[in-house]
Amino acid sequence: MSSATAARPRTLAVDDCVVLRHVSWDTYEQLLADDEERRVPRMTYDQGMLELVTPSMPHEEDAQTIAKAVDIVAAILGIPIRSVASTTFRRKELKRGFEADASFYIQSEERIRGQREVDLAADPPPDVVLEMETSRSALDKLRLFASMGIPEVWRCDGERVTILVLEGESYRESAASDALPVLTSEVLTGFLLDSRTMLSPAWFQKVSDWAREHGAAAS
Amino acid sequence: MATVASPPVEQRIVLHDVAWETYERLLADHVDRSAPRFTYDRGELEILSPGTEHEKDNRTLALLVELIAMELEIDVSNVGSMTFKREDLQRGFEPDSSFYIQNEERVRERTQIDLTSDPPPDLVIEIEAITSAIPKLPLYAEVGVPEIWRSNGERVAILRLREGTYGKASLSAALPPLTNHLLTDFLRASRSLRRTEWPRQVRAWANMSGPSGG
Repeated sequence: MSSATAARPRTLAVDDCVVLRHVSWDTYEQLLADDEERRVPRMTYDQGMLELVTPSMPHEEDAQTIAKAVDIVAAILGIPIRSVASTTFRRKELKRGFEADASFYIQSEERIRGQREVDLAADPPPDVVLEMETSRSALDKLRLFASMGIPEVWRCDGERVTILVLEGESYRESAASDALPVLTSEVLTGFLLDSRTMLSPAWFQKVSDWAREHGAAAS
Repeated sequence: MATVASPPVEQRIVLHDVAWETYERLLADHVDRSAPRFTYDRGELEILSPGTEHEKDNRTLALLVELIAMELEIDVSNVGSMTFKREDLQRGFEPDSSFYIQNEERVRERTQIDLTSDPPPDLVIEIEAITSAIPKLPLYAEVGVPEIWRSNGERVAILRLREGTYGKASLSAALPPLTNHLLTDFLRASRSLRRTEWPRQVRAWANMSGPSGG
């Protein structure tokens, strides 16, 4: 990981973001239903507040990079996961819903195996969600994730990936992931920074080699 | 938690394939809000949070209308960012500012405007900053708004509706004898003059050019 140092300086992603207050749950559901092909804007609903975000390119690219690293590592370690990107997760009784920058079923993969849709009334929430911090968010996303029982949140400010693990009703920072213990915030941060200085085939190779070494060490 | 009031930078979000009913629900949910503003055009919905600079110019031009109308004793109804919508046309918009002037008497007692029977506003103020995803002028033309004052932050243009499209004009028909040059000068002056000095100058000009003075 030590080779990745010459990263471009970054600040929080400047995304387009609009917040609407006083949006009813029915309106939120109607908006979700109107355009099922929608990728952007991403919608977060928190008890009447609706936040609409169109992510900037660096924000999207970083999220993709981290998701790819997870996919590569899990595949090489032989761990089945479901990478469900920005799928909408919502709980009517909590009046909350979100679309993370990336989301993964890892420990709970088996419980949704074969399913094309998930319904939080019956199915578990994703085990890990990735949240790219943006400069303009008006919502307390962590409180929202905690209320929906998301076991693990990875936050990225464009420089560092931080791993937060749910403990009771709030998150505590953890060095390593519970869902994929080989992945630590240091490792993920390294993969992210590498992606900015390496060509994609070399980066892919590096992440794969790292996973193989760790797979061998773990077994 | 950050505040969600007017952000320093204008923010826009566009949604596609939004049903007319969803648009109406959103409007109903936001009945007594000020910002943000919704524009709807046949399924496309744009949601705008105006930036502070945007709002400043908007308020300056709206105040200008009120000051001049008062001096010239013209009855003006400032309906602000009221929602104007036509379900039959599947279009709706909320201008930065809007005024009834020539048609003020026809809407005097109204608390709501129904564009199927009521006239459109006589004047709309449009502050352009970031390029809008939904072009506003065709919407305004569709419902027949006769005049637009459009500011790009530097200059104010007067646009008048002629045969379904807008063309630049030098003289305002909504509030004569204002010209595009005067509007631009007044907007610029508002940035450098003292808060109390600017209205004085506007009023003095109105007095000179109005029926009593001119």
